[in-house]
Formats: sequence, C-alpha cells, structure tokens
Amino acid sequence: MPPPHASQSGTRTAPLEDEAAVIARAQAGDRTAFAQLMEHYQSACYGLAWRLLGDGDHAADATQDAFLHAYDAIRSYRGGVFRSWLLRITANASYDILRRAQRRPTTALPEPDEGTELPDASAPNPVAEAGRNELYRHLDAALRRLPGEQRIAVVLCDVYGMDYGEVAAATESALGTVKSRIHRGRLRLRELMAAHRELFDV
Amino acid sequence: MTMHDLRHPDDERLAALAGADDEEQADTVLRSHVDACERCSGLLAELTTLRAILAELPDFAPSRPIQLVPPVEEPLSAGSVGWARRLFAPVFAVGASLVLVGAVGLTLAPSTMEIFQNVGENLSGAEVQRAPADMDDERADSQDGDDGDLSIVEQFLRALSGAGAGAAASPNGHTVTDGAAGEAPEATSGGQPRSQELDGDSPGALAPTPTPTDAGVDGLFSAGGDSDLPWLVTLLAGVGLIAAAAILRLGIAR
Repeated sequence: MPPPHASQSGTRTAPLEDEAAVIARAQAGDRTAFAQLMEHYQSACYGLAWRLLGDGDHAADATQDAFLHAYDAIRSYRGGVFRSWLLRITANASYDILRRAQRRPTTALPEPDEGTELPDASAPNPVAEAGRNELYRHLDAALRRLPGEQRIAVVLCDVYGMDYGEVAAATESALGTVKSRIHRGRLRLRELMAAHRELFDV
Repeated sequence: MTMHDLRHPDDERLAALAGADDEEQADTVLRSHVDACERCSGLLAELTTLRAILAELPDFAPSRPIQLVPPVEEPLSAGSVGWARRLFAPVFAVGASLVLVGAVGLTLAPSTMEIFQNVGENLSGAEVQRAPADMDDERADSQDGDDGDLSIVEQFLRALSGAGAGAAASPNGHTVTDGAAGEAPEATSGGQPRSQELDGDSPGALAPTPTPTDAGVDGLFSAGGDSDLPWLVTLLAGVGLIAAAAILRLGIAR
C-alpha cells in the first residue's frame, strides 16, 4: 500500500503549541494528555514504521507497540525533542517486528504514476505541488528498493534525523557498520533516482 | 601538482561528506579536492540535495486506527483480590525458603534414597523368605475358612516388616502355627527369630506378634529415614506453599 503523499504532501508533524505542558500532564498520569500527544504524532510514527517495515499492517502494529512502550516510559522522559524521543521508541518497536518477522518486505510499492492524485488547487503553486508529490513517491519507491539494512539506516538517519550513534543503538549494529550502510545507501539511492533527477529542481 | 590532479576519493567518502560527517569534513585535503574537482563537487551536490529531500519526506496517517492509550486496568478491590495480592509475596517467599532448607537438609542428611532402597530390600526379602511359609499359611488360612483377605495396605506393611512374621499374621494379629509343618524354616520378624514367637507346645496355638504397622514403620525408616524425614516434610511443605502462591497469583490475574 503506498503512502498517501498527495493528501499530506511535504508536511512533517510540528510540535504542539503547548507541548511541554501536555507532556507534564501526561507524566502526571493524565491519560487524555497522553492521548493528545500520541494523536498528534501518530502520523510521524506510522510513517517511520511504514518506511522501515514496508507494510501497512506491520507499521500499524509497530506504532501501537510504540505507544504502549511510550505510555510505560513517559515518566522517564527527561526533556529534549519529544518527537525524536517518540520516533526512537517507534524505531525500536519496528526493528523488533522486523527481527521477529525475519523477512524482507515483499509487497512492492505501486508504480509512482499509479494513483497519482490531482494537485491541490488551493496550493500556492499547484504544478510545483504535484511535482513535489511525484518526487516523494519516486523517492519512497527507491528507498524500498534498497537492501534492507541500508534502507533502515538511511531512513533513520536521513529521513528522521537520527545520528550515527542512535541508528547503531536502534539497529544493534556497530558504529562503523552503520556509517558504511548509510553511505552506500545514499549512493545507491542516487543511482535509483537518476532517471528522475529533473524533479530535484521542482 | 594541484589538488584536483589527485585521484578521486572513494564515493563513500563523498556520501559521508554529504551527511556532514565530522571526520570527512575535517579532512582538508578531501575538501580541497572536492572544491577543485567538477566530478566530485557535482556528486557531492547531488547527494546533498538528495539528503535534503529525504529529510522532507512527509508523514502520513495510519492505515487503520491506532489505540492511543492502553486500556484502563481494572482497579483492584480492597477485598478478595487485594488480600490475594498482599499474600502472594510472603507465601511464595516462605515456600521457597522451606524448599531451600529442605533441599539443603536432604543433601546433607543421609540420602532419602535409602528409604526407598530399604523398602525395596524388605519387599524382595519378604518375597524370598515367604515362599516356604506361605504354603503353610495358605493351608492354615484355608483350614480356618478365613482366607485372610487382607487389605492392600496391610499386605504392604507386612511385606515391609520382613520375612515370616507378617506373612503369618492373621487379620486378628495372631500367628497361626501348623504342627505338621513345624519344621518350617526360621524366618525373622523385627530381628526376632520366628521360632521365638511361636508357641510350640500345641499345634494351632496362637501367639502374639508385633503389629504389622509397627513393623512396617520401623522397616521403612530404619536406615537413615529418621534423619531425612523432617527435611522431606519441610521440602514438601515448601512445595505446597509455592503451589498455593501460584493459585493466588492466578486469582489475581483473573
């Protein structure tokens, strides 16, 4: 199942306005506050899980597991970027599922031109918007063609901004191994995107 | 020789540079080469752009609803579940302690296996020694018209007590003798020669014998069993308490 880029193109979940206060309430046991946080970040978590696992059902399972872990661990949260904290938990939950499944994703993304939706007419530049969506779809398709370990490393590092150490911890790999996977993954991704290079300028 | 005349660096180093890798950024020779080399600077720019786009990839909504908060656990009442929860830990701890003490005691005391060996030896000894006497007894029993349908427990205890005495014991606790078979080989009962138990004056006379129960218990614990018994009881009590704790735990889980 392809990610619905067209509906939310180019958007990353921004922090809540009063995030610190909501987090404090959640840490104090306010379930409504916790639910508010998870609802706000569920798209980010699901997106990460989907890109790591390549499967909608597994991604939903990983997101669910991550929320349960986060509920147990919220009291130990000690500041920093909450989104990154939650994404690290999601990455670990996804990796657990990946290890359990012991398989590579077998469901290929549909061709990028399939299901292309009409650009949002209300966008400032509909043509640019459509081009951006197309670029994202090609890029997600290319990510899925990377070897599994490279894909995971590139997604965690380049898509979700984890540093080498965090990726190494999440994947239980050596730092040097992680660096190599990321660098090779970037080069391989460049090759896979060679045919769509013109979209980079959109 | 200028910098751009040097051999191109490995592409992986450029991929690292695109990710602002500290190690590669600190390499001034690499930086100088890339600045001067069209091929390497083009590749680096492309990788940097690619990385920037990767960082923009959007989030998207789950394919199915996600439960945002775990379900609320049923509050434990102060009643039945409450006391069960309070009792679980101490019961389990006491049970585990008893098991430990019992196991250590059994290890240090004479082996409990001796009990069973003793039983086995008595049983086999009784079988061997009873053989000639049994014939007489069976005859006597049949003559009495009371074929002595002893309970299994009584038969077992008789077997434990050793050779002939128990074998000849009637249900009423007396030994039946047969004058015609007075030459029956001597057998022992509780260490006493059988002939001492018999009243040889008259055939068919009755003589008291040790009760089967006494003889059986003596035989059972005569070889180290006495010292093992308390440890065995302790061990079993501990196992029982652990089982009780497990039942309590199951009750809590429900």
